[in-house]
Amino acid sequence: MTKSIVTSMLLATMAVTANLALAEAFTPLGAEAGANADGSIPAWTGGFSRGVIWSDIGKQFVDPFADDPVKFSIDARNLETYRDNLTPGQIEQLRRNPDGYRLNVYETRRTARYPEYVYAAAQKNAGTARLAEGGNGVLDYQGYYPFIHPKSGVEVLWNHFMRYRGGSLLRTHTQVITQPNGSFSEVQLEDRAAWPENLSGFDPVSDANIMIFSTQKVTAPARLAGNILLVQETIDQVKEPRLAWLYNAGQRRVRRAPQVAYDGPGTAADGLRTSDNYDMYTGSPDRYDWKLEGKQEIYIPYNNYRLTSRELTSAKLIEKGHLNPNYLRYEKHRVWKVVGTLKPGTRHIYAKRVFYVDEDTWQIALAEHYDSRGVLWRFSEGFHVQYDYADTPWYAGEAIYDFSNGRYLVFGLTYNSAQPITFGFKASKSEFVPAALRAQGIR
Amino acid sequence: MIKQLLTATAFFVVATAQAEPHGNCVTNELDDRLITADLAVAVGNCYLARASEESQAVAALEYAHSWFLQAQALGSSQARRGLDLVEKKLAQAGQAHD
Repeated sequence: MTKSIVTSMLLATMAVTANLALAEAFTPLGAEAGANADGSIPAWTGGFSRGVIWSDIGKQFVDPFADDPVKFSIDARNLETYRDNLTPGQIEQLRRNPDGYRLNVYETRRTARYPEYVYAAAQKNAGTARLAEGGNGVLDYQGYYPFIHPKSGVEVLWNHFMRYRGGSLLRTHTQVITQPNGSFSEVQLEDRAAWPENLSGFDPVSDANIMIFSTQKVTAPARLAGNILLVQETIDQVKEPRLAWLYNAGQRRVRRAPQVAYDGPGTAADGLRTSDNYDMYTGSPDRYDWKLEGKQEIYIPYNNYRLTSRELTSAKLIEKGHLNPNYLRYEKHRVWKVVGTLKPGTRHIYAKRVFYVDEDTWQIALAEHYDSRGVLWRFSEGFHVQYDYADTPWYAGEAIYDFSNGRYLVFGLTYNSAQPITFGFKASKSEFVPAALRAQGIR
Repeated sequence: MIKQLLTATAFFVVATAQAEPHGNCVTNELDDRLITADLAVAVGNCYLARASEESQAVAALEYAHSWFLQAQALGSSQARRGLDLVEKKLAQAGQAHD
């Protein structure tokens, strides 16, 4: 009897010790807390915050790391030196642009930081969350980040889909379509999204399978202005497909828009991105078999505050074949590598996709999309920023380069916006229903 | 009855797409269960017709390829011909841009 009690106490002590060791080894969101072997990736020390709120930021979101010097640059001539820390997409982009394009590498700053309740939800999910049948959804989770210690590729993707972006967001942004000769055209958009925590009228029972409510309005050019897309993003899209509607300003009609999924064409993107290229990857993962290929240390776009500057213009940023490297910042970070192969019998224009997911934010940093011949067709970059006034990371822009024709598209650029992205506001579900679209139409 | 109605709608969508080869072809509008081999071939041909527009030729060919592949999986005897044609055009497009 005594021996049994002692054994139980010993086991309990060992469990507590193991949990403490686990807590020290990982950040609250499951990233490796410590530095890497050579110190080029530092330890996570709580993230970055200036202790300001949105109203303090005003109309200009200032780069807090503007004085950081470039440590070194990687270009087509010296890329072999850095090949182990680059992805095939980066190498191809460098190879195709031998003049003028480079990755400027800066000191790594692990700026990811979130509100405490987000950490608490993620920690709780670690003991409860599980995949729905076929990996097409998530059960028994709350809030954000269901799988902070992932065991499969699809679990990593669910962390990306279910990551925190301030609980709600509103941004006006620019999408630039660039031709092989460097000429470009702009489209202005307004994105508004809300998660259940900030949505009055959200019914936890009837809306249980809805993850995000969002609208995307085209505001310019005039020929496209007024079209609005409404999406109720379902979790298990095999059980219940994404619910999408389109308000066509010309016809003044709202129609269901089932094409806004998978490889359907992205909004006003001239065929340069698919619907699921939005937010680096969005929608349902069900058409691919996903494989988790472990972690790598690579140079990814990070802390790209310069892209949010209102002094920036498309004319300054857009160059032939690539973005102006002077406005971009790359840092070495640990990423999860996830490879998706199209399932037999399913259809998509990308036969294979590779995602590189930042360990601190669970945000896809880089993506490669392969065609039916196994050739690297398109390469995407997500330009990370820590929006410290809202304690949330997100993108300051996303680019997708088409290697088949030399065109590229970049969107999510906020330099034409009168104000920085707004996060954390309260909204009503009634703003995200088809009947609300006509009222929002500007013509 | 509902399934028959949806199938008829699907054929109407495809017929419209075929009538306007430079307009929009079907992407994900149709429930997977309604897609037949003949319908998949028709959509593949719609994209093949769009591939003549140079700036988006590869994208159109990849859409065509994905539909012919689906038609093949559904047992179409015409799919192989479509796939051969698309693969030949993709190879030519690849050589032009490498």
